[in-house]
Amino acid sequence: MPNRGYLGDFELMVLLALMRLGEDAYGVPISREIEQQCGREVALGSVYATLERMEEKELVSSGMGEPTSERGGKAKRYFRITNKGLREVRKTREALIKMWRGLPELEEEFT
Amino acid sequence: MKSNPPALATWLLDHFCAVANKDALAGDLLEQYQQGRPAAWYWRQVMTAIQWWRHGLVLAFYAGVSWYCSRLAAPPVPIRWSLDFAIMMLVLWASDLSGRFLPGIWQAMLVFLCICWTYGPRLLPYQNFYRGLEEHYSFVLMVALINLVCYREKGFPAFSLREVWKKDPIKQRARRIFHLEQTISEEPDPQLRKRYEQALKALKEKPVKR
Repeated sequence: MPNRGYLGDFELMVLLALMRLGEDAYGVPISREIEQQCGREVALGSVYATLERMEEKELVSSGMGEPTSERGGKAKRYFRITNKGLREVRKTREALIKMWRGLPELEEEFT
Repeated sequence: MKSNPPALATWLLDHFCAVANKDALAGDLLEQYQQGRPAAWYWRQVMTAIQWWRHGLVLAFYAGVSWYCSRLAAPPVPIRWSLDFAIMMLVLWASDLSGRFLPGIWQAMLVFLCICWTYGPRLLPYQNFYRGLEEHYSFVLMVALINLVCYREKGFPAFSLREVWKKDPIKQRARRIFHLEQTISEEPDPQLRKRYEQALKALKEKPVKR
């Protein structure tokens, strides 16, 4: 797949959720954070597919937690944003700000 | 605490989810369900996770292959031959294709089967099975097999050997890390676990060559 240069909107949301959650970022809090902030239901499968794709691109790293009985003995997988991921977020943010600037329709909301 | 989530949905998730972190995803879904999410939510999440439309496409493909073969084969496909094919498909489906224990074994198996199907009519044990069948009939079945292997291994259907062999070093590394972590979490022997942890650390520190 060719590198598009900038993050997709869902990738960006997931990375921002990771940054907000810090050390406690696994599937459930990530999807809950996006749901609370964006007001839309998020499929956990899509969150994991996105995280795996970003892990392949080395934008996030992950590690296994301890298995618990309330999860049927399945371990949590914790995710963290990497330095490369952080750079990509900054790059995308700058590009979006440049695109938003100077649009009369968005002036009021932006100031 | 709520009762268990719908068993059929859990079975579908176990068998058809292409996400590498399937166990973590299943745990997350169970955790959310136990916290009061309805069964409809659980079903919705599972159907999205397994990408039901993709399986629909694969089913349509196999239905097409069956229809095409039934039209080509005259006289009808021998039952024994069909059973052979079905058993091979089942074995491949049930195998650990990720190469955790024997990397490359299923690729070798695939090549062997392709050779058998292509030159089958000229080889002794297959002579009877192929009598009366068209040459391109075996080609269609070969494509179906490649498709199945690729679908099982990579989570999407593909129609060429190139797709099956295509390797991405980053993906391979991620998969090896994933398997090592799984092995560490399941290993009861502390000495072995320590060795696996050292291997994992070395793997994580090693730069990936593209």
